[in-house]
Amino acid sequence: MGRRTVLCLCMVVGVAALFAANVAFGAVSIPLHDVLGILGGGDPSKESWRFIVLESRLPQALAAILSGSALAVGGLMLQTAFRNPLADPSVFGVSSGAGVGVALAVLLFGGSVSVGSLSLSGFIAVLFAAFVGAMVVIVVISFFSLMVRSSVMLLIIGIMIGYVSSSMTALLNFFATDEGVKSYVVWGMGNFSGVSMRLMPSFAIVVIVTLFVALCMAKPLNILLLGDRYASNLGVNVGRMRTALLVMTGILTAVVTAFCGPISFIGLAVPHLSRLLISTDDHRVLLPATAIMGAVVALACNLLCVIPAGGSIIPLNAVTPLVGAPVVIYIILKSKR
Amino acid sequence: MSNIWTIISLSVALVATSCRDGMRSSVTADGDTLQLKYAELIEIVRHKGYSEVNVYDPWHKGKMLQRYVLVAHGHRENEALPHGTVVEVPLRKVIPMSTVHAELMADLGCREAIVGIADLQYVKMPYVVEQCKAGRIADVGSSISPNVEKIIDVSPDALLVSPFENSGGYGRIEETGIPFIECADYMEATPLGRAEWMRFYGMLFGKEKTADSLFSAVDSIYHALKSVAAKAADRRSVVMDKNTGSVWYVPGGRSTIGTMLADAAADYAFADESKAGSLALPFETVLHKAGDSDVWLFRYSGSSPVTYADLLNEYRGYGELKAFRNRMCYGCNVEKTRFYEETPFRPDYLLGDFIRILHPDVSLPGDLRYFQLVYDE
Repeated sequence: MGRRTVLCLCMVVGVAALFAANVAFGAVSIPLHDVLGILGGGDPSKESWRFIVLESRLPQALAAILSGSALAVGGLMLQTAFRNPLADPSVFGVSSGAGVGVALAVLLFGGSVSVGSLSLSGFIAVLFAAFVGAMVVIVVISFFSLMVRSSVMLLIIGIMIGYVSSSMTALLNFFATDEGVKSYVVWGMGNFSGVSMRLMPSFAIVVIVTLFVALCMAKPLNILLLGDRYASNLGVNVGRMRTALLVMTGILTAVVTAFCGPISFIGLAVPHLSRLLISTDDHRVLLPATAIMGAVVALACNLLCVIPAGGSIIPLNAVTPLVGAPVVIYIILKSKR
Repeated sequence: MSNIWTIISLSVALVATSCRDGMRSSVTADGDTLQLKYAELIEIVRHKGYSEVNVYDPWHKGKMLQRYVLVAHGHRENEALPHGTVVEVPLRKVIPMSTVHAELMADLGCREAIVGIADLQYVKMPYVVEQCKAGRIADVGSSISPNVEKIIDVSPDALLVSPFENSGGYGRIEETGIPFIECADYMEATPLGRAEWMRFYGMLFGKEKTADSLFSAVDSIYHALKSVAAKAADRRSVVMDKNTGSVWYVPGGRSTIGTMLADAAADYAFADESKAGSLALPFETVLHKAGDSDVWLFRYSGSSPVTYADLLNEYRGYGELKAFRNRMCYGCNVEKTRFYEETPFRPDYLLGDFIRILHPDVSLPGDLRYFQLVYDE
């Protein structure tokens, strides 16, 4: 059995172990036999534990797997397409676009959004607004990708869109109420608890289908590594390919950000972690490995959030940089050498 | 019912007498120190020709935030004045940077001194809104970053500001020479401690007697209500507030709300948490520790009253709370009530609401002021 296969198997085992740990451990201490009893359909010692295990921890762990994979694969595709090791799903302003949507919903419209006869409030309004905000940015970026040939220029346009989005958010925050700003700040800290069991099927279908399509693009991504000219000579329509990658990454980021808030560093750091472990640039191996590694990192970060004693939690985005930042620093040091 | 009224009347009489005692001052060679009963962040010393008010730094024990030297108009050149911010009283033109202090000014009968206001979009006082529309009160913009030109234009005698920890000062406005009154009242540990600051504000506006009587009334009613609650036989347990995104900010046992729940003799699951602020908890912890509470009280902001369907739509987990299942949820719509404007200086109003809800055997006169029972539709 080759080294890569062993590593991939280890990662799969890691996902299973961390998934079990995420369901077993949380802010509330529940005996293991009760957790197993609840999962097996039995009656727990305390009725509220059933909700905690089945409706809080289980969907949170599933959301961490799907979101981690989605963001990591999105980051890998962008890093390859733009040949930029620091590209990640947030660089094109998709997260910022989602942020503007949420800021409009929470800060300007007081937490409810009305579209025609449809009126949404609470979490659904935030979800809807984030998705619409992110999709607007994707449409704008895709439009520019058809006009601009240079990848670097397109990256700069993406960063500029991010700045414009941030300025709108800053303006909305400035005039908002204390409660509005607090709600927005908490959303911006990211969390995997936004996907309830009721919403899980739609979330999972979008992420899994997009990930499957991404895995099918492994060969064209390998060709892109050779450079735009070689890729064109080998029959790849680079412009169309780039737009397709942007749309796919955009959808993955939009869905994850809408449900879980902007989650930093996973999209940037996990592809590098996978490359370091697997030691290959072959996307046929790297894409699935990155997806699994994304799930491992997201589950580990989610588990770290409940480490503080006394039933408290810490925000997800306070944990993800602890994993992401050392990886990025390592890459910078390695490239300098 | 009659028993309760007897208790309240007796308590009012007793506390009013003790208040007079409490408002006595101790005369020493260094001045005549006004005895404050609850406020810990402020000290008032009267001297011949001026009053010295020391505001202590809430974040650094033992340090002073500001020293104010209150003198009558035209006496600022008095050579005997100690070092500090000299404020000529009574203030005739003031810009309160928060609606809380504007509301108190109205209660003290000096609303005419308001010449400017910050965060106008959140002000509910009809007088201020009308005067702003008529251009007689200036809208100075955001309280965090006010419009300096507008402030200078109305040339106020003082600005009432809320200090923040490590705020980095007040920027260019500090250069204008307009005195800043740092209203650190919100950092007081107890509700009555905060309310007692009205005696200082009364001195600023030349409404000392009005402020003293108002505080005496607040103090006596609060204590009367507290003693009624302590004797109540039927006590409901309570859980406070609700999720903000993924976090449930629960008032700590020593927070203002935590203290008031204790004064209302409530059975509160987080009463033993010694934190003065809020605890950031995940839903599962709240459900585990307080899910069986009889009553759920929460504050929200909305254009219409919240319903059980709205709450479930917001977060499905709310349905797991016993109070939700038993339809014992009370919401306070901060948009439609004057919760934030009134309660800082009228904690007795809020204590009354708590007792009405948490002790069904106690019958207090009047209706709920801030909280309303949530309905299905």
